[in-house]
Amino acid sequence: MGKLSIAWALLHPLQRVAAGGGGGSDLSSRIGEHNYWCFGPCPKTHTGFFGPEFNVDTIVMTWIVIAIILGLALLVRRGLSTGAPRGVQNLLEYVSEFINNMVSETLGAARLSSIGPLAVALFLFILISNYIGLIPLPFSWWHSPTSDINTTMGLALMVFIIVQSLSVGARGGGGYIGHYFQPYWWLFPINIIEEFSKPFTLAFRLFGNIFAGEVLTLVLGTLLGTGIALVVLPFPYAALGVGLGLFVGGVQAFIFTILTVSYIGIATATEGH
Amino acid sequence: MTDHGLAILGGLIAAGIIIAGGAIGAGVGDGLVTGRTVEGIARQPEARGSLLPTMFISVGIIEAYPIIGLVFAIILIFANPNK
Repeated sequence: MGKLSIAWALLHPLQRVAAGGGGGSDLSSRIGEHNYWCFGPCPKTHTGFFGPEFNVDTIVMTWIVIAIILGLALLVRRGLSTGAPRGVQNLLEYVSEFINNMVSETLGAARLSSIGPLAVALFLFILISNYIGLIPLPFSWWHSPTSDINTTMGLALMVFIIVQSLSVGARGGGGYIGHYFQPYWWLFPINIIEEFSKPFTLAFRLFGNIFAGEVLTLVLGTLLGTGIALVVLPFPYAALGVGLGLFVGGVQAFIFTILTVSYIGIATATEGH
Repeated sequence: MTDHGLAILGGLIAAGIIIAGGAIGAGVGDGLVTGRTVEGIARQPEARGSLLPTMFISVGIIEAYPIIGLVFAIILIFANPNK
């Protein structure tokens, strides 16, 4: 017991579990696969909402995304120039200026210093997460972290907590409870449903778009031929798939960010109502 | 027909209906949004810079529910809980 069982649990090997039906490497059992890691041996069926499994491949991909973003930031910081920017600094300044303009248009210039960094961080993380799954590396665990519902739901819950806290801060506790009963008291259930469906739609919109792109890539990769056709045939379709993934990834990252900023603006609007 | 076969059959038909409904809804919605955007650009070509991002945002939001339905349809086809 005690330390011995913890060591035994931690050293338990990674298990690769398919979503539906065990075994087989055919297409249908590879769609929802993840490398699991549980405290101890994985149960055969999911034991509940907060089951003891961790998707290790998603966690590792998230670390890689964080390493990329921090690496870019440190690289730019080392050679920071106040003249006309070039290279990576130009790209990061473009992204930062674009998002900050959007924030100041929606919320006014006074909130820029507090909400701007949140929006830029969210946008960069989601953008690079979406794009990293398009890189065709021969690791079976290489995929976008945002194609896992856990990542997107985590981001959406973080946004939900931020919005509710800012709302309480702007209105006070009594005003926060009271605003659910505006403009008519019998709209209370509709207001509650609306408020709680926002993080769900945020999470599922991002997850659905990126997961559908990953399924498309998986299916296109198994578009068969023989001989030279096996090499040549998938390429145009794969190019289309990557093009669609680039477009959808960018649009969805921007939509997540702009919806977050809009929700913050709605929740902290103290005039009118 | 076994119960298991019926469950799989039901799942496949449901997936088809989900995807069809989602495609129709997304098509109609995106068509309306893009049509109004094109009208706006035709009326005032200088407004293109502010109309286009709004159009893309609207398309992204409209397409959210068909894509959520697509995820459910994929689960029904490939990872049916009835195996």
